Amino acid sequence: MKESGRPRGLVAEEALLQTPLGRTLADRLPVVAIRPRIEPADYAAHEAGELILASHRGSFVKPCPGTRGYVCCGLQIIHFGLGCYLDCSYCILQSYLGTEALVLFGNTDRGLAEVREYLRQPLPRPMRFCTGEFTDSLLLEGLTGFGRRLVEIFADCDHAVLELKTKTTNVSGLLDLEHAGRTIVSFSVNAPMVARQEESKAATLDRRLEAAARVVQKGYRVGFHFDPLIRHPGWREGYGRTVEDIFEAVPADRIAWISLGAFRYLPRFKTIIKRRHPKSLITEEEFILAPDGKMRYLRPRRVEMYRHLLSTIRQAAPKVCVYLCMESPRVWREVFGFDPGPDGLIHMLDQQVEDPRGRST
Amino acid sequence: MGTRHMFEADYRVVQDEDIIQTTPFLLSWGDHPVGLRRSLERIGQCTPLILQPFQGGLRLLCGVRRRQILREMGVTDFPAYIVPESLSDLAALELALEDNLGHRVFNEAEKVLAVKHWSRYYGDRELIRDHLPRLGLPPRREILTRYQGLALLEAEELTDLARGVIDPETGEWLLGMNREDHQAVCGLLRDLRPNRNKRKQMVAWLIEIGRREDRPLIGILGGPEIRAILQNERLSRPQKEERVRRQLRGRRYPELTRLEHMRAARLKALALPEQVRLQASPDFEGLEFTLSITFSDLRELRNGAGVAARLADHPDMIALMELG
Repeated sequence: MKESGRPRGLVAEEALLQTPLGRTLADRLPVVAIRPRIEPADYAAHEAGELILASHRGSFVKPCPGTRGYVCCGLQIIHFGLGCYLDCSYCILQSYLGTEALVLFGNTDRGLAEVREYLRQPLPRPMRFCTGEFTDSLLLEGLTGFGRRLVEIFADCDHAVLELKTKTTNVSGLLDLEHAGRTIVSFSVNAPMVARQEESKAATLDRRLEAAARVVQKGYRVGFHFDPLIRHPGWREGYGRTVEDIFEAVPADRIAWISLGAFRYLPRFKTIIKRRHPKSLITEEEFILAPDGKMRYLRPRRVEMYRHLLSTIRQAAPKVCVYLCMESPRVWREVFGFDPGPDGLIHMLDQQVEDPRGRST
Repeated sequence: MGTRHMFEADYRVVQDEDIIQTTPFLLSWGDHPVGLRRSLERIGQCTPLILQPFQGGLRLLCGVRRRQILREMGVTDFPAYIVPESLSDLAALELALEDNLGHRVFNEAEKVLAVKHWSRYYGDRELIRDHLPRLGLPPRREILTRYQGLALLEAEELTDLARGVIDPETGEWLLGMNREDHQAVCGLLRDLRPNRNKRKQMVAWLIEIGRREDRPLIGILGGPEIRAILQNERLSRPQKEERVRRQLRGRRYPELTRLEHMRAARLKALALPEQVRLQASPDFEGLEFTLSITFSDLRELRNGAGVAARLADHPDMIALMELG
């Protein structure tokens, strides 16, 4: 993994420097600024290479907002930081914060207490939690150990699972944990050419799959997210190769799920991609403005990609759970022959949660 | 409250030949304001030039346009303030800027000139925070980068910028092109004069077509389809613009255009009466279709409803639904 963009300096709220996390970070990074309080509006003043340690004043656990008209997987998001230095050309995180700095919420204890409290209550159904919505789950694991602490919390819980989503290989800290099958380590994957050209600072595909194999050896189940699927010359062969590589790296029955999501972006994001990644061709395909306000490939093109991926996956592992991320019921019907209906996808994925140790359906 | 003066200035009438050619802080670009010429013709020069002694002559700090118009009118002597030679370049620049900003709005080319001059004296952070807003520009780094970059435009294109033939964003895109493509695109914009939104759309499509097809833009614009439109003397400028846009859109979005044509053909085949209208969303997501019946009496309602009821089994309707 290339080093550029990694935190080189710490900007911290004064009080947070006294916390264990604050002390650890201050030991390992030069403190470039200390502020009495850092508000979200202040983030934009900071630059790439700065790690902002700020208090999160809202709720740490939030449901995925989903999108009207598109089928949502119903994840609960544990919100512990913002931003990512992997700098993938297609990544929405480039436009979210208005800064290239990373933000880590330093009031972790309150965050973890909130997660514990959430899990203590009777939940209406098995729940899936994830930390990788606004940042990569394991990007700063070496500095924070936040993933480790969550794995330990979820190990005591029999009606929820934690999903850690990453494009890194930072799994070493998870290997010695008693996870009780309650954590799924997921890897974002792509076709080799996309991984090389558009995810140039992330771990290589081979290394991601090696990391997946390592966690599987320690009893974890894994997930794979083909998201975003990007049309490019040779996409069929490229995605086919990645599917093959996945099933060579890990046994199918250790895969909790594989998601497919075609590239989509907010219209204003195109300017950011062109400015930050002038050589990237990912916005040169044909897109339409979909009812959710995002630019999407034309539906027939998306369906074509999903069908190809699904058939390739099914050939290798007929029973593995495959789902579409944020797609319309119509696309579901055209790809799978059915649409999951309201909450159908949620139930489908919840079944995976109920069977923590193993068998995929 | 007294007025703050940065310097003492002498007032006198100077001969044109005493003014040297150097204009260190040129801030006027593009066509002269119509009102200025009219005013000078009617009442002559009422605002003095501002000059500064420089290398044995006088250099012009403020009044480039006034002097030029007056010279064209045959005037050879000008009332002028002479500021001290000791006045620093930065102070002279600020004087020139404030003199101009005080009585007019800069065009985009003039904003480029102002940013270029400032960039010699101020750091980026200061420029963004304190000076871009003086030109009515948002204090953002990409704006500074854009206006600094636009200083590389050739004189003719700077004039295009001043005249609104190109806008700053388009200008920035032009700078990313090679010289031939750049000139071909400028030529197209001069010929068609699309409005700002259409211009940005056309140039963006052109660039994307070039990247998708790996072809130079000059080749795309010089192709038979576009050439035929531009050379068609029966078409007005707006008609040419519309056809060129349609041509570019079709080439940028071939699959979408194909679907649109298929949809139009199916709709036509349905042969719906005027009072029944069928609409599908332009995105082909297939999530929403709208059927409307317009009627003024029960007979029309019955007819419209009958047509609507029969649609569900019509093969072209089924095909339309599949199209999305």
